[in-house]
Formats: sequence, structure tokens, C-alpha cells
Amino acid sequence: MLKRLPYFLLLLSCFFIQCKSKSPADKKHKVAIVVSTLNNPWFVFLANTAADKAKALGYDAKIFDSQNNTALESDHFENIIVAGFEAILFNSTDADGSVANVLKAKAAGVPVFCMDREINSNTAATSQILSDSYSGSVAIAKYFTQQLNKKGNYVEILGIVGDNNTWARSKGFHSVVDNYPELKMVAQQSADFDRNKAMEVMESILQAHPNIDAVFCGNDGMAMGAYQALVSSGKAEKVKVFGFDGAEDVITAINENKVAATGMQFPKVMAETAAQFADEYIKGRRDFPQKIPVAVELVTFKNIRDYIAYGKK
Amino acid sequence: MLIVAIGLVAYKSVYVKKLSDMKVATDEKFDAVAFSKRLWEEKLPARLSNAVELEAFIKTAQINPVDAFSKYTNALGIGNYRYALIKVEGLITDINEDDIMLQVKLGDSLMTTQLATEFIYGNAIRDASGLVDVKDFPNTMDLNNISEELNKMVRKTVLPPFKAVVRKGDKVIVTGAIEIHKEHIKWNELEIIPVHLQIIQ
Repeated sequence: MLKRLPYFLLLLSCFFIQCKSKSPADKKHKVAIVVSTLNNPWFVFLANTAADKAKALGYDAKIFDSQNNTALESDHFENIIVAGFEAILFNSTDADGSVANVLKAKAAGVPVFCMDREINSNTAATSQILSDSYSGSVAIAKYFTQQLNKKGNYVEILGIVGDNNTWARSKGFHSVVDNYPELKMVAQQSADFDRNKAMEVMESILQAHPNIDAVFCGNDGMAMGAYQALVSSGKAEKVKVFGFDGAEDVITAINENKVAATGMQFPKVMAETAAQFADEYIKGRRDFPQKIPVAVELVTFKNIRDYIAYGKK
Repeated sequence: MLIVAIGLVAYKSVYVKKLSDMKVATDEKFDAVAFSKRLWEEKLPARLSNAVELEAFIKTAQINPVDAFSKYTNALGIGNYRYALIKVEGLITDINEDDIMLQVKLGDSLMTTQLATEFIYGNAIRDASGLVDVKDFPNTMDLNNISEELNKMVRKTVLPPFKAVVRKGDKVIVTGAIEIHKEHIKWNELEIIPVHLQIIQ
């Protein structure tokens, strides 16, 4: 019997350790990251950075992919609320369609911190940390106008028509270029932030308007698509391409003088700020600004050495 | 008596208001033009009179950038761009289509800086003024519109009379806003967005 005593004590201690680890006081707090899509490296980076920051702050973090589907996003929110997550770091699928989901979380006492994509409500989310797309496009438009010496024909390729960023970028751009009557927009079409669609749209526009001087695209994916169409038509040397995002292939293209400029966004800053805010909320802070703009920086051949994809060096 | 009492209660319980009045109340929007005009006329002058001398700002930033940025700059958002209201006296060395080159003293040496006269855009004046708080503006477009209105004031009221008379070789006192990237400071690329211009010679 005495021989078995150490085994018995070991078993007993394991039992107590097990009990202790399940005590509510030691239970790790959970933060959910809901992202519009993980089919785009930019959003993968945003989600992973938010998760890493939440973990560094001592939370369990889980990423939910909405696959650009508001219904799936709604399911995620319901599961998150039931599972007892204490905050949601959120990249919405639809500026209007996502509001109901955020309100659901708010009603359940779960704060929501929007990252990058705005929702059309000033009371649903606890705070929205958003790229200053308008001001970024103002900077791009100023450079665009200077590069074109205030005259020429240009094309604008828009992102998803229902997305606020699409119009913030377009409005910011036009707030400058529309002051110069010799800058003529010969075509404006949507390509849904999609590279392949942008290539097709550009090919079709070039058939109707072969004499263009520049193209402004609402994101870098579309800028690369437009550039491909220009290469195929032998016009890449003549037509200046402008994007928005700071994606890796465009940073490389600017360095090779193939793309004229982009607006560098900072997904790392937005994701980390959202996680930091969630931590502060859980610890008692309540006075968050409804919207915080995150500066977008103009990247051209002149300052390309200061930048890498998704941020500064 | 009972009928009078019921009538009185009913009268006090119902409040009739024109539908058009309600619509006006719910549609009330932020008036960026009026707000910016008030800011420009009533609050900005005091800030301009306290603008830091460019030379003092650069010297402080070269010795202790953290101190200089916290003391003299402001920004509504998160990021690397900071904005300051500065004052400088300089000699006009070139008048170009879109800008004026200004030679200014920096200690014992001279520095050339650019005075914008065409591309007056962006958030430099709004942010440098320190007069706008992001917490007061849940609609991002309101903030954008304030910048746009302040820039319009410069384009329409400050620059035309100045451009009409300024000549190469003139000495000027400029008070205006600058944008500085705090991670990559390039003093030789400094651009001043003017708010007040005075030719002194």
C-alpha cells in the first residue's frame, strides 16, 4: 500500500491542478476578429496582425472569415456573442448591411471596433479606426495633376460601388482634379476592386478611348490589372497609372517606374489600435472617438525607398 | 366639469407640429462653410500670432524631435504626418507657376523653402490650427469639408491679391501651415501652405 502512496499523491495533485486551471478567475479573456475575406492578402495581414496584438495583450484570439457574405458575418456574430467573446475587432463586408450585426453585439454588451472599413452608423460601433481614404486620394490627385501638367484625358476605375472607401477615394480625388478644366475624365467604371475585372474594363475603355494619359484606380489590384491592359495594348509607356493601398506588387512596380504612385495604407496600425482599444475597453475605458482617421501616405518613385508593402521601412 | 377636465387633459397631451418643421430638424446637417468661416475669422488669428518661428522649430526638431513634435505640432488622426503653424521671414528668389521659392535664414546658413501658391489642398491648416477635435465629428466627411473650406479661403482670399503684386526680390513674412513626416523628415522639401502673407519690402 505504501508503495502506491506516491502514485496516489501524484494523482491527487493532478486533480487539484486540473481544478485550478478551470477556475473562472484564471480563465483567459477572448477577443474575436471578424474579417470580410481571407481571400485577399491585405485582409489576411489585417486579421493576423489584430490577432497577434490581441494575443500579445494576453487574450485568446480567434479569426472568423465572412467570405464577403453578410449572412455568414451575421452567423459569426451570433456565435461570438453566445461563446462569450468580450470584444470584436471587425472588418465589415457591407457598410449598410453590417450595421445590424454590430447592433446585435452592442445589445449583448460586446464592444465592436471597426478596422479599415466603415459602417454607416455613428452609434453602433464603439469606435471605427479607418484609413483616411479621402485625404490619401487628395494627395494622390495633387501629384496626378502635377504629373499631367494640369491637362489630359484620364480614366477612373472605381472599387465596389456599395463600399464607402470607393467613394471616399473618388471624392477626394475629384476634390482636386475637378478644379482643372483641361483634365478630362473620358470614362469612369467599376471593377469591384478586382485585378482581372480591371484588366477587362481597361481593355474595353481603351478601344473606345485610345488617347488617354492617365488612369486612377481605387486600389492597387485594379491598378495592376489596368497596367496589364496597357502593356498588352502597347501604351504602358505613355499612360501613367495611379493606385491605392501600398500592396507589394505596386510597390515593386513604382520602384521600376511602371506605376506612378499609390496611397500607402497602414493595416498594422489599424489592427493594433483596434486590439489596443478593445483591451482598454475591457479594462474600463469608455471615451473612444467614434471615428479615427489613419493617415494614408503618398508613395512615388521619389520616396519609394522609405516604404515596403503595407507600411514604412 | 368632467368634460372640461377631459378636454384640458386631451389638449395638453397632444402637441401638433408641422411635418415640414420636423423634416428640417431631422435633416439638420453640419454646415462646414459657416463653421470654417467662424474658425477662420474668430479663432485662427490668435493661433497665427502664436505660430512658432520656423528656425526655432527646425532647431528644436534637430536636437529633440520628440519634444518639438509634442510642443509645436498636431494631427487629428493616427500616423506619421504632423502639422505645425509656423512663421518665417524670407526673400523671394523665384516665382513659378505653382509655387514661390523663399530663401530663409537658418542660423548662420540659408535654406530654400517652397511657398505653395497653386496646390492648396490637404489637412495642413485644419490640423496645424489645433482648433478641430476629432471627437466632435463622428462624420468623417465633415472633417474633410472643413479642410476643403479652409483651403478655399487661402485660394480665394489670401493668394489672389498677393500673387498680383509679389515680385522676385521681395521680402515677405509668411505665416502658414507645414506638414512633416516624423519618420522621414526632409527639411529641404518643406512646403508652406500660406494663411497670412505680408510683403515688407
